[in-house]
Amino acid sequence: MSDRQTQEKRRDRALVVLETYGADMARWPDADRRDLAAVIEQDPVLSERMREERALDTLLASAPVEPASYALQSRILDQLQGRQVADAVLSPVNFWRQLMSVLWPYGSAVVPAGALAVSVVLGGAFGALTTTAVNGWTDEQSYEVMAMALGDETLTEEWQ
Amino acid sequence: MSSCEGGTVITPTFGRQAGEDDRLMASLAAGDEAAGRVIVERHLSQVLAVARRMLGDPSEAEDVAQDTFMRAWAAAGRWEPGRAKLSTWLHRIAMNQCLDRLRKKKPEPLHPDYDAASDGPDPEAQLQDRQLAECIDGAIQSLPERQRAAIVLSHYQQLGNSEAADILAISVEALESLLSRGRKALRLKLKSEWSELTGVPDRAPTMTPERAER
Repeated sequence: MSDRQTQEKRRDRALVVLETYGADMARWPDADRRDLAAVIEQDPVLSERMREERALDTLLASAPVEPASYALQSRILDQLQGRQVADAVLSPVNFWRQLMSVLWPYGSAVVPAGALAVSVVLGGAFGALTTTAVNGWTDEQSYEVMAMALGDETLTEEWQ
Repeated sequence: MSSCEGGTVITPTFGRQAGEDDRLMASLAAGDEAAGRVIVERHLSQVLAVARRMLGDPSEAEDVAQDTFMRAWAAAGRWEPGRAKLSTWLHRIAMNQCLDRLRKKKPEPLHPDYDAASDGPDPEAQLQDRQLAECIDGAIQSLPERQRAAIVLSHYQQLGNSEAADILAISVEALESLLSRGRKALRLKLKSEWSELTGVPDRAPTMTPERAER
């Protein structure tokens, strides 16, 4: 791209930036701010355009909004207070959080909860493996073992 | 139109403020009411200004500000530090509420009559200022919603283009297009006041109504 084309492109962008963001460079995108200020300064048409956009900026700044009232601020803070009281009383999440902090007051409960979960899984797996060992028994044999363990009086003669 | 993300550069101060907001939200979630007070002090005026300029009605703007902070209190427990800036999030909530309200409500007269009497030292000058402000406010209110939202976020709230585009869920190019058309429309609506300031009566752009509405 030739110097002339580059210059034209920068000039076009300067016009777009002025029309879009106005004359206050603080509102311009950073890249444009550095690049286009000199372009505008050197171009009389763009300089005039900048003056006009500044006038519009000044005009728009003539409509300030009222600051937030103390009453509004109080209402919002009252809402916060009301919400926290409600949370403390009603929230089930809060309840569990408080319960956990009593049971495990050492920070995050993820590690003990994970350890508990692993032990449950291992216990289940161990139980399943142990069951395989007695799977060869008949129903009658199983009944007799259960009856002996429970001291059932209706044992077969062989056991008495 | 070229894309530029210049407004997105996070300065150390900017990042620090976002970090402080994250800490305040965490404290708030832990039940520290003082943190909520600081959040209100930091952000209420900005949230209220967005609502006021979008809706043109002070009491409705207060409702929006109140609802916005109520949502912030509710979200404090789920707030993820570093995921979003609190100020951007609050702006988005407020802006969405404003757009919802604007879509629901019927057009109303924009300018209630002001009481001409004033306690100030120069009642006539104050009245003129008030009339000018009213006129500008009316011009802003008459913009199409999206153009108005772009002008409010970018011009009045001075948000970077990327942040403003993010709040409106549009691209930076689309934001620039809205801003450009919004400013042209404002210049057209404020033709006489603008000419008075610039001393150039015939430079206000001409625009067909249908183009202005897009």
